[in-house]
Amino acid sequence: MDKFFSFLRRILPTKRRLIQLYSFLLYNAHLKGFVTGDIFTGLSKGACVPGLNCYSCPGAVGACPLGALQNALASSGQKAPYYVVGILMLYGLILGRTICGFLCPFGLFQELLYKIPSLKIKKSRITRVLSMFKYALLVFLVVLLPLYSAIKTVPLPAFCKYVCPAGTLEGAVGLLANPVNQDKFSMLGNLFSLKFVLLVAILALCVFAYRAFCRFLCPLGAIYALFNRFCIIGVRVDDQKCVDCGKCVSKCKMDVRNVGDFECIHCGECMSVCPTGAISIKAGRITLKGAEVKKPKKRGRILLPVLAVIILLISIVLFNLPEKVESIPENAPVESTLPVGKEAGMLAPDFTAPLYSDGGEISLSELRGKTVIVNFWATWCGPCVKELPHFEEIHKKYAGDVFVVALHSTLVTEDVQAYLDKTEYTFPFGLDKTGEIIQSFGGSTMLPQTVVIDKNGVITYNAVGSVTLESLEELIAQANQP
Amino acid sequence: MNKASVFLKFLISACMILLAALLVFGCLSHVILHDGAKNMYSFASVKAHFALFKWAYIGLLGYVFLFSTIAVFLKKPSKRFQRAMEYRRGKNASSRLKTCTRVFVFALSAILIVLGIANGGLYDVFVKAVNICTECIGLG
Repeated sequence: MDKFFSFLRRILPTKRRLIQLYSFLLYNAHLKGFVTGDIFTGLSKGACVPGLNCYSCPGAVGACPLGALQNALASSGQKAPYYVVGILMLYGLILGRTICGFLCPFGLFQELLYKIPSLKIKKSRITRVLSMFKYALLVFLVVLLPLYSAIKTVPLPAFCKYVCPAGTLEGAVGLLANPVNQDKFSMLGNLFSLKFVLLVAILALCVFAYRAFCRFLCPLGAIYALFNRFCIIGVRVDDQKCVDCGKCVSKCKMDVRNVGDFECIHCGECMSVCPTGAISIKAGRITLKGAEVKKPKKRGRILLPVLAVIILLISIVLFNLPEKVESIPENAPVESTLPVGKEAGMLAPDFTAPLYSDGGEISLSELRGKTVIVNFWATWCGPCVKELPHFEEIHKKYAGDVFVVALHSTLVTEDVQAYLDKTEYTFPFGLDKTGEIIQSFGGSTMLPQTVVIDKNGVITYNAVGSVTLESLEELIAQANQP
Repeated sequence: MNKASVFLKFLISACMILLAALLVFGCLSHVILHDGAKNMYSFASVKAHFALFKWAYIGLLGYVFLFSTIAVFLKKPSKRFQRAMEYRRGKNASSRLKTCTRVFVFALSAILIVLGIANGGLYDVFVKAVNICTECIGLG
């Protein structure tokens, strides 16, 4: 019987593991997203979660702090990134790298991978040196490149774009694994190949090296590490009890020199080997776990987990409520026999949008007889901004035959007119004031989206994703075919 | 360490490396075949790849699961403490300095958050988060 209980104690999840699982479920409470294949668009997305959790994950109910920081820095030409920096400082102050140890879904994933029995790479001076690499990534990819892109006015979240495995795993694989998103496969290219290979390499490395991404590559861990020495909740060593035996450092799988230093994730595993009970997990002066903590009464032990489960269940219910379906406006000419819709071959729904340049309006029904290209974009969308020159070229080349208009998303984060004044585009820019126009053409949560409408008002192309000059020429040729 | 557990670990490591290599091969074969062009992936081609290597993936994952299960039930090897590496022990900040630092950082973070909400930073985070970041997930 004792053997059975000791076996159970070995395989049952620890409290830390349960907290990690709980936080993973809380961050990704929008379970409906895995079924519908779309992301959550509720108000809670304005709040950053503490751990690394991509906001393009179908289940994510909050924003990723690292992604938010990069986007804020990329827009720092117009607005200082006070909010995101303040939030990161607050999280760092309160929890430091306890977030890595308890509240990061990707950290949980790495630890589960490490559980696969295999050859293991032990920590050494080399891994200690390699753990400095994440600070270089933080400075270069998270801070400098986005700041540089702010000068160039083409937003670039460099770490998210080129490295982040959480984005590839939770975002790309999470979305594309759903058959509803089959049409997104055509958007995969070299960038996805790079990120996928990187993801596989990191996951494979995590099997052999404990928390390989966390130790060597994670810039979020690097940010929280800066607060580790004075964070409120974390592992503390009682200097009076400590006999400097070094057992805590040798037990720890992270590259620590001392318990509680920059590399410590406050997991508390060193507590089990301390011969004098000098190590404890504290919140300020309150000891949460340690040698001198008295066991709470039975009622107290049950209350907190029950409360936590209730909060989780309420969150899951709230974040999975059915959304209101807005009716798509139908504005088809009376004489037409084609249905109005968003698919190719259907009549394009009529719309009217205010223009930025002269304060006038543009109406689709007045453009009959011309091929119309409608591009949905936003200033904060890097791929959107990068393809605008292609539309400018098309506008200049086919002036008179092809009408190009770029409609800004209803979600405006800066003065678009001031942005456009700095550019030299001559084709018209409008605003999708209420979001109804993009809704009538499919209402995707992805930008950019391009719609090509032929001279008879029939949609010949409607898809999300960047377009090149060559593809635009082909689409125009296709639309002009009798 | 007993020989059985070492042998199992070798096998599992080999299976994991093979699995990773197969996934990378599948990804790179798209790049090589399509000469690095965009639109190189299609649902049909990805499905075909998985169909072709289905038994390899299932087999490798099955072996990993089987060997891991066996390893769990094998007797755990005795733990050996490694000699702690000789590092210079840094001095902890005094508690007073720590308290002052905490108060300062807390005040600064509160001010920054309020300023950020006032200048629309919260809204900007919301705007980015409710749209799929195509670059971040490798699309486009």
